[in-house]
Amino acid sequence: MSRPGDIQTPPAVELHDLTVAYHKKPVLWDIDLAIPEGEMVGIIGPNGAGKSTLIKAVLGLVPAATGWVRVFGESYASRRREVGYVPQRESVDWDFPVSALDVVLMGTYGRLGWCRRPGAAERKQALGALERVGMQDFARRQISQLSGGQQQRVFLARALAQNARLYLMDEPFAGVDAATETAIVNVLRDLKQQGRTLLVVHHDLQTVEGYFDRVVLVNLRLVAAGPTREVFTRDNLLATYGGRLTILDQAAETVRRFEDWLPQTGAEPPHSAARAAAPQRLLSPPGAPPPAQPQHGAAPQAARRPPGENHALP
Amino acid sequence: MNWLAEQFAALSPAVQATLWTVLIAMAAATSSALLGSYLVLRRMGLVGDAISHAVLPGLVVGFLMSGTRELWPMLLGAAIAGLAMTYLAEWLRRHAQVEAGGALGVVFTSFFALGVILINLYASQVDLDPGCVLYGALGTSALDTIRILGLDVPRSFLSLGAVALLDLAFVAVFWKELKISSFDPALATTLGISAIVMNYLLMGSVAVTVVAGFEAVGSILIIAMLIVPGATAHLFTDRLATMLVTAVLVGWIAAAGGCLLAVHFDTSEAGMISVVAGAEFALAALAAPRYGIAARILRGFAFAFRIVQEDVLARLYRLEEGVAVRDAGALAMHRPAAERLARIYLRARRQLTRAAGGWALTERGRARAQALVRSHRLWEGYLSEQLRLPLDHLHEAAHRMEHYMTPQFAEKVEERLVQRDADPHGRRIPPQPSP
Amino acid sequence: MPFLEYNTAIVLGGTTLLGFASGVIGVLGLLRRRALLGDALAHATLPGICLAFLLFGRQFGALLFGALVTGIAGVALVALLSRYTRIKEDANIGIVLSVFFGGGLALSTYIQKNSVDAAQAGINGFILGRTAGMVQADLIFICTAAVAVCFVVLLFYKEFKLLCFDPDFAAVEGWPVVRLDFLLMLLLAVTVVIGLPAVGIVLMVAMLIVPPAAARFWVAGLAPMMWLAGAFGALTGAAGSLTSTYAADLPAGPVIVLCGSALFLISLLFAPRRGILARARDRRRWRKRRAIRGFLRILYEASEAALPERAALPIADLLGRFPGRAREAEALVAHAARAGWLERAESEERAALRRSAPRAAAAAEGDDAVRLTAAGLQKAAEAARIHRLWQHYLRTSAHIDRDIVDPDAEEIESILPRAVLAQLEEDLKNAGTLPGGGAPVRALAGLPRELAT
Repeated sequence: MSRPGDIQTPPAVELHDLTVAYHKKPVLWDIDLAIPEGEMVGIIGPNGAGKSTLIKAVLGLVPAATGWVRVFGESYASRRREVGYVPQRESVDWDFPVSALDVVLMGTYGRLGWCRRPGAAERKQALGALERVGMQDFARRQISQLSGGQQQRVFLARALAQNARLYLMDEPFAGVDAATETAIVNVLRDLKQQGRTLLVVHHDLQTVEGYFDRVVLVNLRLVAAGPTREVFTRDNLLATYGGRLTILDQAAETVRRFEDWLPQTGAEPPHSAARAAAPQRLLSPPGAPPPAQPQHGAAPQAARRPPGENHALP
Repeated sequence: MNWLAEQFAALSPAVQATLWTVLIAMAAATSSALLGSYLVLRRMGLVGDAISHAVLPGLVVGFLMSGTRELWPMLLGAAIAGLAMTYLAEWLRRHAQVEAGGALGVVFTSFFALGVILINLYASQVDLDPGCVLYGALGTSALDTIRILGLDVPRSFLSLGAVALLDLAFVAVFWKELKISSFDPALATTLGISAIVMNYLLMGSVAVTVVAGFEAVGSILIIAMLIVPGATAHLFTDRLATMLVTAVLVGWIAAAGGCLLAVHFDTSEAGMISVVAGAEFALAALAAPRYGIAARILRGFAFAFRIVQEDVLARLYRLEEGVAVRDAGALAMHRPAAERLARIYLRARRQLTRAAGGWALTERGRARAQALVRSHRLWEGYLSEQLRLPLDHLHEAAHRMEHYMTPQFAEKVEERLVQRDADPHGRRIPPQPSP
Repeated sequence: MPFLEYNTAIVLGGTTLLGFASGVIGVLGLLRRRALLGDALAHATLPGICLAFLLFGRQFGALLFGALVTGIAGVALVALLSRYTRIKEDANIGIVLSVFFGGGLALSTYIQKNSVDAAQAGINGFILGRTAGMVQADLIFICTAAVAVCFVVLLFYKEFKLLCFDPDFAAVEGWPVVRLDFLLMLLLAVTVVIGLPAVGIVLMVAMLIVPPAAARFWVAGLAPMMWLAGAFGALTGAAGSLTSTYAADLPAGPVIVLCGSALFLISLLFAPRRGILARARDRRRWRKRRAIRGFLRILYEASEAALPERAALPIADLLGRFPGRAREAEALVAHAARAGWLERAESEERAALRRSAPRAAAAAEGDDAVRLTAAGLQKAAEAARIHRLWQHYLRTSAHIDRDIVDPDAEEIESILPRAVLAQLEEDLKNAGTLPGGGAPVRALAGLPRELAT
């Protein structure tokens, strides 16, 4: 957690009391976390612990029920050009009629803006990104003809083409071969060397210590976060993997059951913990904007947390 | 029976025809509503639509081969065409990597186009009129009768009734199998009930039903009878048996209402049946007691109002305790009008009374507030002990959760706590008030 | 009489252009998995047409505008119902489709019975399509709309590509996914509406699905797929309207759709790579290659004990080692002999027999044993080497790409880093089981720079 003194360099990602619900059921409770810039951070936890949800909440793909997210001290929307994203490989249809190069070029679309097509400069950049992941020879291949590991590398190349300061990656090592894993790790280390921040959902406990400077242990709630050698301990792992907190499951179920009855509204995907979270808002006029900042978010940062608390990455 | 027949015979021919029309439509509605419910539950609404189009060539070929308007050859041809369509679409999806919707679209439009062209080519030889196939001819089919038990019964009523009984028997015999293979095909297969076989049996029955319904409402609108009643019923209930019965009732209302309205406005029966079915669905979507939109909105308001009430009560409780001035301030967030309304309501419910200079809790009010404050502080304790949240992050989260916590759940939380008599801020956790 | 009458030419031009536009926009609809929403859209236009007729009479533009309004309303209703009720999208499509169409049907029957002019011709033509009635003004209308649709697709090509491939990524990058979806839906609606007079409500959805689905068999890029689908659509439209011109009693819609189906069928069967004949051929070849590799391995293993001497291998023994049927094994022996990997040999028993009883030996027909040639030995050793490396890798390495089973030589070298391969070879060499005496690992293609150290 940043100290009062270093207000000038806000953390790369800051989550404040973030609660996220999927299909009305809270899957992450009150996550409070700050990721300093320039680190390679692994998000670790069992299946269904909400690791991917955490990343999606940062990206605004899943709306926060309560709490807020800051990226480099601002809202995600105003910083999105500085954020790169590697989704899970299964999230798209790999039979789609595009080539590997086409997919990588999509990483440059954000910068291009409306209606402008990628030109020679973007192509060069995309080919460079492909080369960095060792896929330059496959640029023209249709993506269905790539193996799983190669597809994953194409996704990574797309993120490289985004040329971001912060990278969020959802299981980039899931189901890939050894060559790909090595290639990806090397690229990630390169990025870190260049001072980029990496937030990587990871499932393989064997490799955690080799890959990450810091880890975030999640299972429905934040178990621990901090430098790997301090936080990646037996006790913390037991707390993360040693069974779910049944109370949280039951609480989620109570909320869901209740919320099931309520109307689904809003432009966001319907989800109700948002209203559970801010019941006051229900009776306020529909047009009234929610408070821009929770009232105690403005409080001096040091006051928010006792020293030595291990939720933050000191 | 005879008495009924006499009464019926005494009616004017026009009324008789209308009554038969209604009965035919209801028979068609029975079978399609039954099977359609399964289609809705299995998320196969579009397959139903596709089958209803795809049976056309089978029907025509059956008709051409038998050379008569006998129902059975047509049913057989249609069932074959329907199954072939289902199989081909599935095959395209699996082996030619065509996306599911696209595969269905390619196959059923091709089948339908083929059927229409066959009808046009052989229009001179057959008295299958394209219009009749597309839109049905309820009015005319009521006139084509045979004499049974001294009564002129329309042929199509007999055939539709037979199909309805067949479908009913199918559902009754395969009740368990249909249920489990609709709910969890993988489980069904491991239990020795082939989900694939059940699927094709269902598709075959749908095809037969669709053909039988053709005469009544035509190929395009049979889908209204298949899908709309099932979907409407699904808005009312979660139980399969109730859903089937409701669907059939919805189908009957649509059939009867549609026919009568069609007579009244002198327009197409098939069209009016779907319009009535659509109106029933709209009504259900808006006003169904549990899943209707209006009910949800009302519940939303009720929930919001409950939160205001609870916040008012809890604030007073904390003031009585005299420890939580900061909380009390933070809680005064609802709009004054809402709070005023809540106080009036709470007073009527004898949970609040007027006291010198303000409001005070009654016994009942205090009990409710106590439960609430208890939930709040237990949850704070839980968040602090288990989630290790810092002190100043507890209140907001607990203030949210307190409205969801039942006494039973609060007790479970309490069991998990190390420190049970006070919350992390050191405030007393009150006991569960005795009812 | 000219080949094309004036009116026929008009109709031909209209259906061709229409086919092109629907092919192009259909590609996006199909890839966005909205193929069957087009069906609901088309059916939902009928009440609009009838209402417009009641309000404005038989004006082509007005009818189409009415169609557009209720068509979009229908699609919007599908989206709303899917969101605000528990009923799933497939059922909602069915509901909107049938209820809107039913309402339209009731209206059109009403018009038919209560209208003085021969109105039903105007409306019923929309249901199954009636190209014959088109006049020049209609054609200009259709052409303008079709060109406009294609232009918008061209303008937002990049955005649509991203939307269809990875909507989540698009959202993360700040593209307005919902609005883009709406634009796509609007384009689909316009295409459907201008297609109604020619193809008809019931079958319009085929124009959106069939040409793109057929085109997908031939090409692997989005732009080529759009061009080809457009061409298929144009071809379909032209062929259909010509056919129905010269066979006047057939409705245009079904004929057009059947032309499309024929194109689809041809694509399905004969397209290179994705067509089913090509797939079957590829599968056969792959099986054969695999069988040959396996057989070579068996030959190597049978010869291994006597190496570097190339031993004579009794055929009966080889057949015993082969896991498949004897006939396949015989075919493989024949294949290997043709390829020059095997030469005729004599088994020891036969040789002994010849020595002791020459006459009996001569009576036994043909050869009963084979021997690897020098070239065959090299091949066989390579196959065994790859197999053993892979087996060893599977045993020693924890995680592998799930997509790869039983790789061949090229595959294994593109899968495994050179360092890993070298280590595996080292292991095998130490265990004395590396075939081919440690042939050098070939140059690696397609490997990350970092790995090729």
